[in-house]
Amino acid sequence: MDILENRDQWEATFRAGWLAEYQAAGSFNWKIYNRAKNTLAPDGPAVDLSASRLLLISSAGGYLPASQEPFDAENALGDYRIRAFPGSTPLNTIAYAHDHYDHAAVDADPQVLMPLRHLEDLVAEGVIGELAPNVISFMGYQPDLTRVLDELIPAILDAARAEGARAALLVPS
Amino acid sequence: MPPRATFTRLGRGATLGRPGDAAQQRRVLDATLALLAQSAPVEPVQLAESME
Repeated sequence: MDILENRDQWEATFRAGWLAEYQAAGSFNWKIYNRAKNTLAPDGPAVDLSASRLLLISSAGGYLPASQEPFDAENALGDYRIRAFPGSTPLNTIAYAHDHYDHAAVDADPQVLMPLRHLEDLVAEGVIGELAPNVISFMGYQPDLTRVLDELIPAILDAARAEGARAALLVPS
Repeated sequence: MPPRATFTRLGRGATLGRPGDAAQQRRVLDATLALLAQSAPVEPVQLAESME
């Protein structure tokens, strides 16, 4: 199955509509943005989580300011790169570069978006077999779905394979 | 649609629950991870969780 059904049609509509208007006028017209809707969802076998390695994937724009560049949160056309950092990272050392959600909740309690300590508890309880060593993070403002398909998703899949993940939890923001 | 998903009324920026409400965050996590025990795709599950 295709990750995005009717990719060519979506891309043509995006380029002739939302992107063309942005490039011409410098403004966003979300009324003409083509929100993709697939008719099929991916299939797959059941997962015995208690015997599996789980990878946390976050779209909240998390990064480590001490060692990593922030995502390009101000870029109107999005940022399609990923960051990886250890799941053992102290929550108060993670910053969030993402201008498209209110940060009040994550500033007050990072586990509302980055539940690293909860996941460690679930491992200790035997619910999860183990956690992948690293968290995969991206900034989920990405209006160009062709770049999601060609850049973001391959990077996440490569990282997931490198992490030896058998299951993934995506926490959107 | 994703292969398995839960939805709530918590809103953007507080996906797993209210700040400081570890019990609610765990309920959302537990319900979401439990879907892995089923073959995908699974119909999205609406959870009765909100900011109220």
